[in-house]
Amino acid sequence: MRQKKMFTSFKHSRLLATSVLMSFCMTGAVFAQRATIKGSVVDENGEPVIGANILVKGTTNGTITDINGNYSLEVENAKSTVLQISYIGYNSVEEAVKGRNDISFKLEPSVVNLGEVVAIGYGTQTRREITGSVANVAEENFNKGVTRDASDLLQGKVAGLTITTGSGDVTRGSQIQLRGTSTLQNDQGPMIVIDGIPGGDMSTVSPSDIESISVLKDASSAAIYGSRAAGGVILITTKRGSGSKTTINYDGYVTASTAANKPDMLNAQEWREVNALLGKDISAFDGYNADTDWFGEMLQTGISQQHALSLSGGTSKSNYRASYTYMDRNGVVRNNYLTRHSFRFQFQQRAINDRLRISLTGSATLTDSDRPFNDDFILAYNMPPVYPVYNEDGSYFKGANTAYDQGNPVQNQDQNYRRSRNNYFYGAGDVQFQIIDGLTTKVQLYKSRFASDYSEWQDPDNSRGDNNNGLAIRRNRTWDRNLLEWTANYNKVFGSEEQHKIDAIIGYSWENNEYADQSAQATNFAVGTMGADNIQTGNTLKIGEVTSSRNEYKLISLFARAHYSYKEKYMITATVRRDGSSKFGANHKWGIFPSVSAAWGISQEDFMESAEWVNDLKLRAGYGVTGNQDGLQPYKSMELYSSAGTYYSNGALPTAFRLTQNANPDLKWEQTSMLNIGLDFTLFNSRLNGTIEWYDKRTSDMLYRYRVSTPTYVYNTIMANVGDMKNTGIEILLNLDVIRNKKFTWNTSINLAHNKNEITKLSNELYSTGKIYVGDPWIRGQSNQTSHVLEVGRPIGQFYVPRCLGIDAEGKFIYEDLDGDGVAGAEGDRTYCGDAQPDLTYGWNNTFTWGNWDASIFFRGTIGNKVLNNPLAAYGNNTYINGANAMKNDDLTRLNDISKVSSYYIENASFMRLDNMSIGYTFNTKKIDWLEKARVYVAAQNLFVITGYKGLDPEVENFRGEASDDDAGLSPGIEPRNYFPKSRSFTFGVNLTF
Amino acid sequence: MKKKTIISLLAGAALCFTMPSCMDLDETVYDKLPSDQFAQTEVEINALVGNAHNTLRRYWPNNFFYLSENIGSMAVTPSRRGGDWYDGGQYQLLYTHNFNSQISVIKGSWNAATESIGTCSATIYTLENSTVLTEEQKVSKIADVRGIRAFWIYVMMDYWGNIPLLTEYDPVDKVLPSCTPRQEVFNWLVQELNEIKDQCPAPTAENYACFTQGAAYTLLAKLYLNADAWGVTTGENNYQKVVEYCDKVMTMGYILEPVWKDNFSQTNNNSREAIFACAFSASDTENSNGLHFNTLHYKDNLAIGATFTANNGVCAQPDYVKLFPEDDPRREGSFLLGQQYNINTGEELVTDHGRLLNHTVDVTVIPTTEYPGTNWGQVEQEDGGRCWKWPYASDLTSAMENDFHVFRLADVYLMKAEALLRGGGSAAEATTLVNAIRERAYGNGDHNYTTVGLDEVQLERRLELAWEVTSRQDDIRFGCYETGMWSSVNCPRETGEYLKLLPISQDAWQVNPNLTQNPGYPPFSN
Repeated sequence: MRQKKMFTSFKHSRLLATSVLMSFCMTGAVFAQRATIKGSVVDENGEPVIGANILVKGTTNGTITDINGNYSLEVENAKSTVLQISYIGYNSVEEAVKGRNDISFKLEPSVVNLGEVVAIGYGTQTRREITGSVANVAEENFNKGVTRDASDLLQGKVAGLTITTGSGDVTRGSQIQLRGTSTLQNDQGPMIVIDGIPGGDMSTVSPSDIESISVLKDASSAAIYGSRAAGGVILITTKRGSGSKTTINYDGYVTASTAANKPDMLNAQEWREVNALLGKDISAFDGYNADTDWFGEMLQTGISQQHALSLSGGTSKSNYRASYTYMDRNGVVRNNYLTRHSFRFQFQQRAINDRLRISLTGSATLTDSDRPFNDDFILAYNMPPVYPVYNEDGSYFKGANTAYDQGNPVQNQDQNYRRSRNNYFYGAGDVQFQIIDGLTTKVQLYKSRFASDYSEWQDPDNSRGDNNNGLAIRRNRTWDRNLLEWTANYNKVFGSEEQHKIDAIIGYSWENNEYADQSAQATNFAVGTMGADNIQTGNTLKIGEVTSSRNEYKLISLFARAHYSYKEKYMITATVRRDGSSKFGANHKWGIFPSVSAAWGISQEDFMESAEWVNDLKLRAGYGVTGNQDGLQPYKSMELYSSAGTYYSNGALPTAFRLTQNANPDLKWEQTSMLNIGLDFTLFNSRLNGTIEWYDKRTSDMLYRYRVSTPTYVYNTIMANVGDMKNTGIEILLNLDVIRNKKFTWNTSINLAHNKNEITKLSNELYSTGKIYVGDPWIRGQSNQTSHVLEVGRPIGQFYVPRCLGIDAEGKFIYEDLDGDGVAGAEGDRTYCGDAQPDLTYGWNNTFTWGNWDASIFFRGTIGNKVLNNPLAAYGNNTYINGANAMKNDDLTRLNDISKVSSYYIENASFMRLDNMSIGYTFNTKKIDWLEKARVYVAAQNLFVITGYKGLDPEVENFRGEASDDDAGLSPGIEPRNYFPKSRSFTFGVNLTF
Repeated sequence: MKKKTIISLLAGAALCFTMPSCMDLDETVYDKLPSDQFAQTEVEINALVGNAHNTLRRYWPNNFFYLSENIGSMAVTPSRRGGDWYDGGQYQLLYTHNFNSQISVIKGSWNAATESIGTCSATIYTLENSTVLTEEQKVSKIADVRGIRAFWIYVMMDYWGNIPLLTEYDPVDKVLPSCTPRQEVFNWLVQELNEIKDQCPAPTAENYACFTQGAAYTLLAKLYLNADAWGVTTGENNYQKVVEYCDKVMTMGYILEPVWKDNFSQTNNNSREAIFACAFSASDTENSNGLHFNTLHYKDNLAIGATFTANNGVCAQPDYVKLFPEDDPRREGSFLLGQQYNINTGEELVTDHGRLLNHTVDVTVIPTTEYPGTNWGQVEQEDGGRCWKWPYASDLTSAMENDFHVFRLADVYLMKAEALLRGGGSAAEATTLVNAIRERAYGNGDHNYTTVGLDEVQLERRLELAWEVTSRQDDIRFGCYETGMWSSVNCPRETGEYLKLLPISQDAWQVNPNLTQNPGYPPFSN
């Protein structure tokens, strides 16, 4: 669309167009000066560096140094070319060729590569120039072992970025949060940008295709993404082919996973003994003599494998990379798997003396998966151990299938399923043209389609399906996305010593997102053998069981950024974005998101010259405003009608209609502003590098479904902008080369993050809200008891329950009677009992190299967070023990009271996990001319956890269902009773490069 | 050259940004209808009126079903062995009249009633602005929805007395109403019903599920019958008005269905006894009738031959069941009692606790299970008679087909009998009316009274109207509000005139600080 408009403009001034075209040809004729540049690269001791990368800046034309450290590279234009030289463990160097044809380099070692080019929003910068808060993790620092997507690679690596894998379900994604919870409305975590395409999905990039990941942590760096950046931004840069050589790479591994932990239930003998001790009559179970470990029966050792093959290469004019990854993951629960085929193809070609560049990218991700019913674990908690899995004739034991919260979970696993077949296709193309030296313009087009085909089956034979005599669901969903983006970029270095540098970009983007689904459900299956594959076998079809829906929203943006630096001493960046979203009310569709940040390169000052121990010192400060709208469904501002079942009309049942929601025409942007101050330092001969950052992040006009008064409103909630929230925190990153010599290196890296979260407002003149009770931990006989409160002055995750002082001699819980009404532990006695947010999260990584060997060991954890041990509350009591199993614990036989959600079950969940450990060996392939690199490794994940928490695992998910569920993430810190055990994995892998 | 290049670029960009389509953010709505595009045909109007009728599905068998029968003397939701249904003690608090503004059934009922009133008001607003209806259609349909709304306001006035009376719907200007005193709500209801009583749809079988003229007159009769108990003044002879309105209803063509059970069957939409009905459908998943889940034991489905698993909740208060003579068919017709057998195998059903699934009339607290400071304790899973009035289909899964008759003619007979007795009218006529109900129930006249007093009327209401959301109101009127019908639990009810009104929901006050808590209860605070 935009191109057409450009065309019109050219038509309007044909003369101008002609002259521009002429200028292209002229510049080509005058400046083209092909040349071959040679030279060598040495290290700090003058020893040749083998395998250093030499690259023509802004292209993929490059080469590597040979065994003597020498290189030779043909360039298009020896006058304007800038070479970039990089090698792991050394600072990258940039050098303008200026017509020379012999250039040699000396590299300086560094614990962090300050010359490294890092992705920022709509562009790149070297680390030294960055003024905002950007964390970059490159391939060599990724987590090892079995990984599904970028979040697995990053977990624990970036201070302030909390990635929670709460369950062992291999189909379930991680929950990501940057610098605390910043919204009430479905915190979706950071926005994902894949190779410059905003709003991507991590699952579409195979981990083996990722080169580096940048995390834009503060608002000044994220504000260029405007209304979707309040949760931060994660930029994923994929690998590209290089013009210098063709490469074939194979990455493969096999992993065995077992459940790290399972609930400690009574066995048959113990169950009988406890019942006897408590004087309970279990004669009804006299006929059952099995000794079944129900959790054990549901679990397995899951074998997973991945094979990734990539081809890459090119010429000085073009490059390509194609990859295919096959991943097959099997969970620790028997009916849990994920199989994924990922295809990715990138091609880039230059023309018109390298001034025109066209790129094409295609990606396909095909995923098959089966997600078990988590509630089957509830059956495993409840089923008495004396029941068998199978009857003597080999058929399933079904004797408890109608009992409350009971049934044969193994039968459920075998017969039921929730399968998905997902296809994610996208294609992107961009055309970039250098109009004059330093000024380029780019048009980018993107189209994606994500289609999900879901089948669910609950067999009439088992306890899940027998309620409806079998239930089948087929559901198809499609998400379409179209994106058009235009940018113009200008950069220039000037001044007598090239002390001034400017870099500016302006852009426009237009995107629309369309969602459609259709779903059919049927029940009452006389014949169940075809499952969801023949849904018409189901005899009963109710109104509302066949549905379809479709919606659409648009996002239009204008944005600009300018960066100026003086001698890398003083740097300033300013950005602004104007975003318009169709989701908002007519008067509030547009929002402006500005930012400014500055940095002072103190080490570049003259007065620092004498401080030789300081290699680099930079002070940064930035302020910016970002927005949030991703949790908001389209059409929320409008008064709409939709069908609502049927009504009775003289014997017939026509379709009824109703208002769908309270409309809010004033719906507008939720805004998050953040002030960030940081200090980057590299000291002691570049052995120690670190960053200290402080931030203050404030969200205002928070979107949420606020409760409103009925009557006056038709429904008791409305989507509105009311509350405010605050997050403040400190982050520290230290990176130290403890030992650095030819034979042996040891690098250690620690990141620490502290965040304090507080709700600062929940009411305004239109809407008044006191306490909002959230959290539904569920204990049998305790319906409607909540665990958390949202309240001004309190953080998200605030537990609000009766305080328990212990258990008295009669086995009764002693509760505090705070309201003095004589009844202790009742509704009025609830009080603040800790919160689920940690005071400190940390990661500690160590890497070692010794000759051809390399090793890493990575710990991570939290301090000061609380978790509600709900399984213990629900199943650690003897309340139902004469009909159901219970968890072993000290209170089991002494309790003579019902359990309820109280401080008794809220535990300190600080932990340290040995998350990742690996040892690798790289073979010497110098004598094998067809093999460039061969490495084998073994890795272990989740080896052990040190914690005082008595439940299964102290690291629990922020929410249990989907991120789009109401109140998702507002009651974190509950270990649910349908918890899916985490896995412990051992991997053997091979990397081969030909 | 360079400058011009930049200019051309900027010009192109500027041109683009001034083009409307490049900056167009209008929403296209695909799967719903914006309000300005809906209610353009009579079919669409009827779909909205039908939705207003469907608000009654939130009256029974949840919210007010629990409030009326637990607070009254009909039913109780006891805590079961192990603590099932203790649910923070809320059913104990309801039974013992220890009301507070946080009880979730109270909050849920307030919400159901107020949202239903809002739905009706919004529907009336749409109907009034409609241009597709004839004036006659408009008047009748609006009266129908106004009637539904009046019913909900009557329910709120009955339970809470002083309520926010806001009947205007404005999609833009939102006001937060304060509480209107019960007397004024009463006056408003009388006036509203008098305005619509003859505009409402005719009391014919075709208008089943509408708020008909029959429903309007019955509701007027209920207002006057309870006026004394509510402490409102009317300036009329209340009981004479009741008789007058009941007489009107009795001439509208309704009949006592010869077979009592036909009022409750899966085809009870054919009952000509029904005056005001809440229609359910087994094929509709919107607010469906899940009575079976609320009352039956986890394994009672096996006795029916159905596949659902119920939740073992509410059962009858034991002394209430004992009011039923063994030979009154309504005993078996109202309660599931005795040992249960698997309908397919004939085997005795056994609970998870290894006990025979025998629904006893008595509901007995297991010693040592009492909750601190009370005599309320846990009872066995199988204790108590279960609701057995609306027959359960053997292929029942999640939704029952049976409708609920909010008002039916038997109730009107008994209201008239009561009014005659209270107002000094003909005792003989009252006797005839009560006997008509008894004869229909027994199928013969052998159990007829020679003469009846208020005690007999009260008893007959209990025998006839079990589970039909009349218990609390009747108990207040007959002066036995403080006497539960579960004497063996030894949990005396709180006493105090103020307890005849429930506390207003804490949630309602949180979003509307203009509300004032009813007298006797602690004022609202956070």
